[in-house]
Amino acid sequence: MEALFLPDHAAVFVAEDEPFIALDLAMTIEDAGGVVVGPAATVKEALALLASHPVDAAILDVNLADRDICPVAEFLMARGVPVIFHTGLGVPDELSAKFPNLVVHLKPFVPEQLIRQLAALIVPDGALIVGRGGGLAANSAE
Amino acid sequence: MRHSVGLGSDGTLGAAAIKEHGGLTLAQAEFDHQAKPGMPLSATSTGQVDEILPVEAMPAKLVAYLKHLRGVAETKDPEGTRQDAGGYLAAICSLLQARCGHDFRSYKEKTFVRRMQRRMQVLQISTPEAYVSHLREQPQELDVLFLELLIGVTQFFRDPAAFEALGTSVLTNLVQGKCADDLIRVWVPGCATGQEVFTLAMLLREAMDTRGPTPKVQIFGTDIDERSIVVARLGRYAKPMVGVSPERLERWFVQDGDGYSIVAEIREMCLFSLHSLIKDPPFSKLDLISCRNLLIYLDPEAQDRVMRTFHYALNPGATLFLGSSETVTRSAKLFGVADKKHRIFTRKVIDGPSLPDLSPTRRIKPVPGPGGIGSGPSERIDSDARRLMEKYSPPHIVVDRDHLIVRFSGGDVGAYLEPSAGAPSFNLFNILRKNLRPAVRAALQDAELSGRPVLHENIAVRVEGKARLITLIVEPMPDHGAKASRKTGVFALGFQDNGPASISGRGRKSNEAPADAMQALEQELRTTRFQLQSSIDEAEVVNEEMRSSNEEYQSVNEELQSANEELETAKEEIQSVNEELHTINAEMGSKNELLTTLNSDLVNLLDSTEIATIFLDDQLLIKSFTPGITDIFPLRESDVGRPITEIVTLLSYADLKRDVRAVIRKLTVIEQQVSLVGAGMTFIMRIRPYRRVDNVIDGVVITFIDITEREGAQAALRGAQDDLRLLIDSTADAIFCVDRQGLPTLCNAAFMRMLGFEREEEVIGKDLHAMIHPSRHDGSPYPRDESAIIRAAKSGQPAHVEGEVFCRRDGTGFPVEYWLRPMLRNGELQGAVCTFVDVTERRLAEEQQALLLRELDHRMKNLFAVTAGVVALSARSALTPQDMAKTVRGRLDALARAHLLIRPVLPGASSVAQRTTLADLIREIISPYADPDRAGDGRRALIEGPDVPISGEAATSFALVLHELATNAAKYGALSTDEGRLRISWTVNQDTLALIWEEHGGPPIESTPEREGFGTQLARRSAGGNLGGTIAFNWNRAGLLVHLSASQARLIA
Repeated sequence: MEALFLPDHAAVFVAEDEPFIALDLAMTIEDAGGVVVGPAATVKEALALLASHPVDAAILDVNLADRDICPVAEFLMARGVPVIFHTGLGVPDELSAKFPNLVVHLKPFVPEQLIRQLAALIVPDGALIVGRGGGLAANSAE
Repeated sequence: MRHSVGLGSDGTLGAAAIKEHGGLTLAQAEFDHQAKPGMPLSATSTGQVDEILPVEAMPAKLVAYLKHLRGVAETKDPEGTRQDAGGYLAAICSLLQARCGHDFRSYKEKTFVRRMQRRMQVLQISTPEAYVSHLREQPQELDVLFLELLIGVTQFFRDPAAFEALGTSVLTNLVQGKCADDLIRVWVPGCATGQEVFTLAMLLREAMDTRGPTPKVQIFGTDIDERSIVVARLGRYAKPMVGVSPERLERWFVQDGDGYSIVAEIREMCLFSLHSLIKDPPFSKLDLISCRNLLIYLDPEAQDRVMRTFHYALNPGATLFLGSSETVTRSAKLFGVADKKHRIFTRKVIDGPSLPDLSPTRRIKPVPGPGGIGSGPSERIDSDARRLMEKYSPPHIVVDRDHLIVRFSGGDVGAYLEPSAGAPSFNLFNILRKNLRPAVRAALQDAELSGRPVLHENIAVRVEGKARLITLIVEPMPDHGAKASRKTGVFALGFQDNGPASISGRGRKSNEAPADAMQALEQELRTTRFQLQSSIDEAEVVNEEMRSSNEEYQSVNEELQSANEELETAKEEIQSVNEELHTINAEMGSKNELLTTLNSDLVNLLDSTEIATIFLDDQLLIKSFTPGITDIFPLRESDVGRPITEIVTLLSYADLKRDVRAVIRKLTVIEQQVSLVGAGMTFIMRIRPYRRVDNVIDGVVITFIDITEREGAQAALRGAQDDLRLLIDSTADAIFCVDRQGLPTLCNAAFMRMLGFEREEEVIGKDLHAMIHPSRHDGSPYPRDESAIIRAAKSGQPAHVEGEVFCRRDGTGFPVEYWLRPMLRNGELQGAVCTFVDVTERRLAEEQQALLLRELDHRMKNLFAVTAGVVALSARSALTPQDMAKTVRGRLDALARAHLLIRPVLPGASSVAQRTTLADLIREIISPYADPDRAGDGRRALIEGPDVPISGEAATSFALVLHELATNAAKYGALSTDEGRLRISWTVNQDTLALIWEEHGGPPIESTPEREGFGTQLARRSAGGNLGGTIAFNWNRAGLLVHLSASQARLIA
């Protein structure tokens, strides 16, 4: 049994307007050793946060309370921040047209996979930090 | 000897010519396949073919015929006429008369023998004797001989120069001399098949061309051959039309099959009848007789008779037209020459009758003298005076220019006459004493030459054995008949006796006797002489009386005779008229037959049509009717002549009288539908004027056509049509029909409604495609020829089309789905029927459904994501599995309640009344802990605030926040005790909802919790997150006070 970890204090931005999911995502990231920026419920809030907090990666809900995520995604991608789109239905045409190689994770999220994806994005050579106690269990059957 | 061979399709004319010259004619038999089809039938039907044989048999026949000709050659004279036949003619003639009723005794012997001889040649009989016995044994040979004798050649304008001369001189003058009311009468005896008659008719009609009003013309064509008359009456002649110029052919004939028919204008001028010139009484008062080549067949005696007949029949000065080899020299007394070359002669006026069958001794009626108005006394005085004067005037004779005696005087004229032997004659020089003849001839010649009276005195003549001296007086008399003649025509020849020629040589004997005796004797003699004288005187008186009474008798006799003459004349006239009547009667008879046929055709036609017809005159009297009329008017035959208005009828028509009058007055046709009351029958009644053939209006014809069945069928049809119309108008689908050109012929109410038309006229026959179907659904132009509707109308293929757009009249479009079916009538394509529906709403519903599905999918996914979050988060704070289960259930329950209340709001779907309000949501969420509607719980929880509709995703967040607050209250706060109270109130200010959660009366709160609980954290996150507001917790000792704000837009969206 091994646990998955993100690089130490990797800052992950979360944009999600649904409180339960937002909290769940945040706690999952924190459990994996990451630092959560957000969760932001609106685009406005997200852009405000990102302006003052550099991040290593981002998990973005496609539709936020005020509008679609496009401005946020463009902001992040422009800065080379890896992004995972967390969506129930799919990615808006506008985005998939702009960014053909999007990383998508369908709702509801599976924590291990999400962390693995995040980690792969943050550390492209794929060296995952495995083993420290208190990390995210790769297999939930404890 | 001539031998002719006939070729060609119709040898009829040639056959006639051959026969005319005594030749033999053979015809191919019909069973010979090489036969010319027209020939035998045509030629044999005219009786001109002697034998019909197959071609193979012809040579044998010809050889036998020749042999026979040579055999009898020596019995013929140089002209080829047999000399041994004459003795048998009488026998043959009487046989013929017995069989055929015609007397050929007056036929010219040579002609007769030649014709007979020809028959003998055909039959190969060598002696006349044998032929007579053949005739006795085979009576039908008599018929053949009869026809043989009648064969004549005739054609139009035969001898054209003569007809031309007749036309220019005679006919033109004849026409000029007549006015419109006059009648021109022409007789053509021996007309055969009528060509000569029609020729004259054409010439007359042409002569009348130059005139305005034309006189009426009657041309009598007569012949004794009934078959010829039948042909003539038909007036139809086979080609070629020899002798007729193309202009005349064009003008006077109409082409009729392979022949020509005389036009009616000419035909109507001519009357044909069976008539024998020799046997029957003639026509009279004629202007022209054309008798060509008939006299040549008659012997001289018959010719004379015929000439006299013609003389009688013609008007004075009228014209006789003979054939080229005929002349009137023998009858110079009757006819004068007008044109010798062309044989045109003029009738002379002669004294005395000319009709041959009547007594030659008759005299013309005495011409009444001037002032001799009455007969009786004055005439008697005249005759008495004449008688008395005769004693003192010389006996005399009146002769005409031809020296024929026309009058004898009374008295001693007989003394100068001496009848000669032989036939009685009226020629002066035949009956005058021979010794007088030279003197009289000389005197007459003198008088003729000088035109003055001639007196030859003291001519010594021996009369009754005594020599007498005679003075011869010749006095020309005024001749009333011979007008314009230089010569006087009549001469009075008187003989005055001047006593004996000489008194010499008279001897006297003297005898002496005694004186006394002598004296006594002389006395006695004197007495006796005296007595004798008185006796003589008495005798003379008696004689004179006798003579006078004799003369009276004579004069009475004369009168009787003249009366007789008048009667004879009248009889002749009657005979002529009778003959004419016969002719007309024959024509009438044939016309009558035609009329009878036509009439029976008409009767059958009227009976067979079921059209009830009634004929009324202008007084509305019934003239006739058809049997069908009895359905309408109960008429019987006896009702003819009754006024129609008296007939009781069930006809619902009161204006019959008025309408009939209107039809007669305006000559229009009235057509009207009428019905029989009670009988349920309907008729179309037509009143038309009855127009006679001569264009006179004589009443009306009313016809009734039974249309009951038709009416019934039409009513049913109308009903069916109405039903059908109702049906198509009541359906919600739009229906229209187009013809093969794609032009609309019908449209229903749904069509009009959907497309915004008001009247059918805006649609029917218009270019519908341009109006409703100008573009495709994507807005591109839709060419007419590509339209499925037009194509289906032209091809007859059914079609189903979706996804197209129709255009309303106002230009707006709507999506349609339509079906096309071909319209066939009797298997022939008429166009197409198009049914279409407006699919706007269906489209909308489909779109909504898709939207709904996507929304549902989205929400489901969201819900699962939320649920996953709920489970994961609950697990973090749960102490035991039971605790976790309870928490999770509570939260899921809240979510479920929120979902129940908050359905997706779709465009145009729901009404405001069904919307969930904030109050509903709150009540639902807190009801597991404190149901405001339940008795007892109402006072624990107070919910107040304005109506705020709530929907959308944010509502679930709101519900969860409330749930967290409610579970917290139920665990630790106001709802955990019976005394605790909860108040939820809110206000709306512009876009912001401000809600206050106020607890009190629960367990007192000692302090603000050190660690923010999960519920609080969640609530805060929600409020700041998708509720777009804020939340603030005040942990007051009396109870929790929460201020929650949210964007109202989020709650509604």
